[in-house]
Amino acid sequence: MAGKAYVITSGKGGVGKTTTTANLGTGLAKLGKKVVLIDADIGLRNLDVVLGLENRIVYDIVDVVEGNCRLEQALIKDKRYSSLCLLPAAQTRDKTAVNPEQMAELTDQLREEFDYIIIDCPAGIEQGFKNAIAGADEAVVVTTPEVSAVRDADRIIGMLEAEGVHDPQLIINRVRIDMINRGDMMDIEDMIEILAIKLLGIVPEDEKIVVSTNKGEPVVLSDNTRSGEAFWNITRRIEGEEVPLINLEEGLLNKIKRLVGLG
Amino acid sequence: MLNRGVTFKGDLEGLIIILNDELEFDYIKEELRSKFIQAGDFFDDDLMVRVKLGRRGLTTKQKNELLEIFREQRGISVIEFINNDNRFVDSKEEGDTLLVKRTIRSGQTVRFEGNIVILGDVNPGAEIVAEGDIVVMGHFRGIAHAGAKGDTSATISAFRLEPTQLRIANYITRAPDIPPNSPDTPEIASLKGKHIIIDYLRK
Repeated sequence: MAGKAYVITSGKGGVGKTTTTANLGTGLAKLGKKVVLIDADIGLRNLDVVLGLENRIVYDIVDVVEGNCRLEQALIKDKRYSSLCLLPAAQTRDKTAVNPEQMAELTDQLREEFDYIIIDCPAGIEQGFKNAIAGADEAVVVTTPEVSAVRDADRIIGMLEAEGVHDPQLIINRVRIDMINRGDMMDIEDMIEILAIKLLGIVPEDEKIVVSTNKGEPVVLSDNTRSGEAFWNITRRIEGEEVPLINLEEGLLNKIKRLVGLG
Repeated sequence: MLNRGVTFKGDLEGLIIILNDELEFDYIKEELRSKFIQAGDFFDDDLMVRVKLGRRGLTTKQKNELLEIFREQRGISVIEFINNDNRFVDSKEEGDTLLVKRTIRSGQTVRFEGNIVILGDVNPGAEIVAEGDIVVMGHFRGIAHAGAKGDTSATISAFRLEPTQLRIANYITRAPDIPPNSPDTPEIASLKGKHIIIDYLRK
């Protein structure tokens, strides 16, 4: 069995990489898959907090790489799903504590145990990014409907291709349909046209995300949240299911259906 | 008296005192004493001192005599004696304590061979590692490891103890997932058998 490694990246900070990683990982575990999440944001770790696992950390990724512990000792089991694990980042170190070769080796080791390896990439295009993509087979680019986020996403897609990670998929996060309708937010159609990669999902802006992040409970597990439903659909698409896009608004939905060839 | 037995140097971590290893111990001792008298109130509070001995070895009596001289100086604490091998001749004197007067933030670590006192808060994501006790005169919300070299009698106390994780010697405990209502009073964590327990600080 050889697991698949996804890197969740964006270039720009604050667009929802960590939230996406937590929800996608939890969603896949809910589908019964064996999943390991890697926090590659050494020095600014957050994934443990978003999953509510911060107080369980004893060893981290740098300890594994430096040989202070075995890989299994650093893996933290999720509270809700025993098939979900987290390999936390070190907080007191920086990105140079790990190099791309070590990351690739680590990912290969995890591939034997898990169905999915999901790597939460730090913002930026420096060593942290290079570490995060080193072991990845596939990439998911997260962006928001803002010119700056789309600009950074475009840069990242180019860098992924240069590094040999082909055909990344796109998640558009924090979408506010009322603002798009008023012409105050970038049109989704325009974004897809610029970035020209496959759309994996659209996640509406949802204040429940703030609550879920603070409580350490991924929104994908909650019923009746729009963002949770969107992340659940993304999870199923990763698993190969054909799931129509979330119904943001009828007119827009049809447009997008056309764009992704579902309608 | 020719001043060639004792040299004072400063670096980022504090003061380095170099004792010439070719001269008689008593001579060195007197020169050290007179240097301190010359210096008067020159030294800051909580100045850390490392004493370099060169090839000299110290008997316990000699070491205590030196420590006596340092103790007479207000605000100076001897951190370690170092000989030529750069090996600690003595790193942990009973009561050796590092005083840190600031807030320790996420990603920062304070490590010391003795006790650690923090005059400030310790935030989540920060780490305090001491071979002895840890005392936080503020809110403790990070990770603490007391008795890091195996001292099971080490304790961790704070004005408000709301840690992410506590470690004493080889034992470890973490905060409950649903945060309890912490009392608005100082508390102390210590080892009882194999468990870390938290109690009110009543001393």
